[in-house]
Amino acid sequence: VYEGVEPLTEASPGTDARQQVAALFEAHALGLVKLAKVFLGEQSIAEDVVQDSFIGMYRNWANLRDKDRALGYLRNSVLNGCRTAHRSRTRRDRALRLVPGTGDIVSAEESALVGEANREALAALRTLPARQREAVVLRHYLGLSEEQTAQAMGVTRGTVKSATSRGLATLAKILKEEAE
Amino acid sequence: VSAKDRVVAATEATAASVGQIRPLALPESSTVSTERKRLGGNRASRALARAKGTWLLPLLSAAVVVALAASLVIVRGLMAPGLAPAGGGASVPADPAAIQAIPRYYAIANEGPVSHDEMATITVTVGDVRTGKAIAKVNLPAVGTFVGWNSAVGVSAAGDDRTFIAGRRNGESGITFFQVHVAPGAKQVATVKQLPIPDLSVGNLLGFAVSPDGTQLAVLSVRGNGTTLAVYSVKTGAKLRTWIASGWHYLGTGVLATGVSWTADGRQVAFSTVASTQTYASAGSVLEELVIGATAPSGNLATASKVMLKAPTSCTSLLLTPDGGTVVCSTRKAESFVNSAAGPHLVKPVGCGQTGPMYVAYSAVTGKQLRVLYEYTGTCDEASETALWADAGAEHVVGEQVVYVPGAHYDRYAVIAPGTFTKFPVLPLGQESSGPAF
Repeated sequence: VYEGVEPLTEASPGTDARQQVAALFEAHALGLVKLAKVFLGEQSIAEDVVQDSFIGMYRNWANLRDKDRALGYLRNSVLNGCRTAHRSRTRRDRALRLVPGTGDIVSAEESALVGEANREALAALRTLPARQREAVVLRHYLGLSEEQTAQAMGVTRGTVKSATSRGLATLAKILKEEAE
Repeated sequence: VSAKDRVVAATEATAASVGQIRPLALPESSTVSTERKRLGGNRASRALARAKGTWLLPLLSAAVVVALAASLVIVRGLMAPGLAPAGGGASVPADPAAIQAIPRYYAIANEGPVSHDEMATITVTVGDVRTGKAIAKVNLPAVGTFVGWNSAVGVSAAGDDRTFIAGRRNGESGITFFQVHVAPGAKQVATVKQLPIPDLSVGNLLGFAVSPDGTQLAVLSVRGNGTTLAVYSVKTGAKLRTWIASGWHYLGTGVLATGVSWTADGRQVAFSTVASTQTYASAGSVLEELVIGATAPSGNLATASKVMLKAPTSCTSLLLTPDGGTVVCSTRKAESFVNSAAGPHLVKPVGCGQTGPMYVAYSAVTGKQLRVLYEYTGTCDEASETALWADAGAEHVVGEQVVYVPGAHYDRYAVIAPGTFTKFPVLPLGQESSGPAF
């Protein structure tokens, strides 16, 4: 599902930071926006998170020790951005989105694209704690190994295993309840 | 189909729905200019360090003191009595008597830090609106939780201004309720006990409210089989009545802060819902305030309940007054998510601070608008009002006001009475929290 896994440096070492970051954006931004949208649901916010990650990388390009691992850094940055966006939105939802549904209006086109059954599964996914949500998505959507997932999340392999298993168990429970 | 397969299919479908994305917009300043800025900062620090210990330092300190004093004089001169402080946006006179007209005590529930073994304690704090201080803090037993998962699912206040019920989500297993009772001035100010209501696997909890006499708990929730309102005995934990509306589905995610209330006589339970049978929201959804007889036999929620108000589309939350005669509508000005030729994006609200948000009173009998209780006229990017408590006829309403301005937001609490908007302090709410409940 995820295109362009590591190694990813398509820009030649001689080009300047702007060109190299632009080349990385060209190659990986779409995949990262897709990943962020899975976590956040809204494309505009997902794009903001990804833009911020690339701008952050651009600003710190000189300090990037291993440019071959730029995708790993970007993925970490996007995950962090999603966590922050999710937290601030949770806080904001408490205040601003008291009415079921009015904060989650989707177009008929998008609704048709994603499908009702999938929306239920996504809603269930988004109720998971951050760690479980990330582990499930990185393992089963991106298809990362336990080791790669652990690196992306900054946790141990054991944590990835337990978070994935607990996440899937909770999803099974929620989706079963929904079906009842 | 397994849950894993369903989630994989859903994530792939979501990813596939991403079409074009906007191009990268890098700032003009590159790492070079960032580096310059950093060095510049260091230079300033070094200069300040050099100044320390020299004759310049006392002179600088004196200058700072004088400048600070001068600025305070200017600020005091600008602030007229009764004017809301900076960021208030409301210049209506304060009314100290209004504070006397609302419950004196309120409760909030904050989830504490999550430990390394993923446990957290919920602290229920009871505050005093007249002093702005906490009179009691009680910790509920620690529970398994996770960062980003709010275990403090709600707080509700009984009519005696002393009894509060807090809900705690227990990891993945359900919801437990606790009663916190305060006795101001007593040796032991607060007592807490777990209610005998069995842990509820309530799907998405929409809200709960304790009856005015503190003897019953109404819980509104929604899951795959529709929306359920259940009433439990606080003393025995027994489920007294259950009503289910199989056609009413939840349209979003999250927990409603204000979904359920009781009339003062304890005979009716009021709740808000969106009149739509669609699984997902549409612009045509209508918010309604409904009531159901608290002693009506268990059965169909849709047929046993009665619509008190079909709210105008501007209303985003509703509260029935305890006499059952008035519905307070609160509005907001929020960003909306739209799809256009340029792709999906957020659109800023129109008229934030010029046309509300506001509180409006409607007759629960005729459905007609009675009066505008308060309208926010300050600067805002987004703003919302929510009625947390009201007395008979909405003579006094406790409102929560959240205002977003560029780079910041303000939470304010106030008593709204005819012609007045009286702010009062509420103790801090944490990142994961619920309340305040009055």
